Amino acid sequence: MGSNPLQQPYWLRSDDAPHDVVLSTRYRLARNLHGVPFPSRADAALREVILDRVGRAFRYELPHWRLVRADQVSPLMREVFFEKHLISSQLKDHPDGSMICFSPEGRFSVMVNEEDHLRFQFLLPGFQLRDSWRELLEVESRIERWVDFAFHEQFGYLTSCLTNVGTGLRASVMLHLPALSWTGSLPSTINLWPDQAVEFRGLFGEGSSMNESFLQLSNKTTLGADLETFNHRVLQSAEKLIMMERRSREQLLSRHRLQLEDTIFRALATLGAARIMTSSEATAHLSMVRLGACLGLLNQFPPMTLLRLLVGIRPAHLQLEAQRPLDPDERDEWRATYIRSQIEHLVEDKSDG
Amino acid sequence: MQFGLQHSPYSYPRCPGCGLHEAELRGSTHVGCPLCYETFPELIGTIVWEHQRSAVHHGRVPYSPEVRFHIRREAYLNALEKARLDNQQEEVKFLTDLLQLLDSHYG
Repeated sequence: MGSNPLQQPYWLRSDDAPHDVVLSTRYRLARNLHGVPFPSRADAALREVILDRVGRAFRYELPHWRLVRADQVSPLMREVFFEKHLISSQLKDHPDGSMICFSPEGRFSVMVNEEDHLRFQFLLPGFQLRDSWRELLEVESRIERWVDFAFHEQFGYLTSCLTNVGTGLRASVMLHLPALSWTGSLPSTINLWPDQAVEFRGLFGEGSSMNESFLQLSNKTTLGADLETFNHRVLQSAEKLIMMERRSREQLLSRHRLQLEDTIFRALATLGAARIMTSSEATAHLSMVRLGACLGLLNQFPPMTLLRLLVGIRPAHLQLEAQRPLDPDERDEWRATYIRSQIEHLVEDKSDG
Repeated sequence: MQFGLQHSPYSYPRCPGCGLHEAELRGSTHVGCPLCYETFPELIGTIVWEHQRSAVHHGRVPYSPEVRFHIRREAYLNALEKARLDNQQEEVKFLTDLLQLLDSHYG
């Protein structure tokens, strides 16, 4: 059992694929066991049988992975895993008879008995939509040595929700689009997006808010084409959005440089001085500081460090840092203190260097 | 006119695998088990088409029965060897039974 789920996951740790617009790339593959009711219809005893069968497959095929029963993890730690995008909102809130499997290097996580029996996840830093999904299929193939997956000649890989049936693959990228957001063109860009095969969601997936400059882009459908095609559609849309965001950044720099710099440096000043800060306010300011860093206006702030800060200011991470429950007012105070210390640290590092 | 009877959800077919009623499936995108797809193929085909604009899978498929047999047998044998080396008697028995079951099923 080599891996430590508490360590920073690979997508927040590695600097090997920095990108100015795409924060991370994620693949998710849904699979179910042949002849077994889906988790929503499985009673406690059956869920244990599923855990046993899948757990045995992991223990023999991927012995260095860490298997953690979700119902034996504290609610706070489940919230932390959720904030790191390692588990879904559903598993966070309904952990009974479920398990999370973590790969040693923190690139993969597998949820067992979530909406489907198996949800394989592959999380990478930056923009890596090219061929990286093949690695996820290797993990899936290892597990298939031990279990039969539910499959139908017409419908493909069977899933609990009919919107996932077929390939079961969801390819997504988490985008940072501050220039499009700042100019006010982001809502219309999303609403009028020409490719109906993709969809946009908030930073934390289904149901989360899309009112910030961070959003997820993923394939909308999973049936009717092969994995390569779905991946390519997301890739095409992502490349188009990246180009639009970069063009918008260039235009802001050339036409509204003073106003842009003012907004970015005001954001930095607020982060470095505020005593109380809500999550949405901090996210908005960090978004502008990250934009400044990507444009070369704030070179002392590496974009990856700012990304870690964006995750670190979430409620569960703050409570983990405080080592006690914090009410919303206390969290706002802790958040401001945490951000100030991180900003000071970065500025000191730069001046020392 | 027999009020109510013709609209009772119990008059709809139900899945023998999980007990899902056809009435529950109407207006929903969730099914209860793999057998639902065999039990309500037309209704599921319609719902899938509404959401996916296709009802036919392309691409990746599971291992064929023959490949699956060989791969699985190799996996079981490797696991059995490890369990023997680790002196895990219960696991050895379990894996031996699993191998016998596999051989009787496919062999």
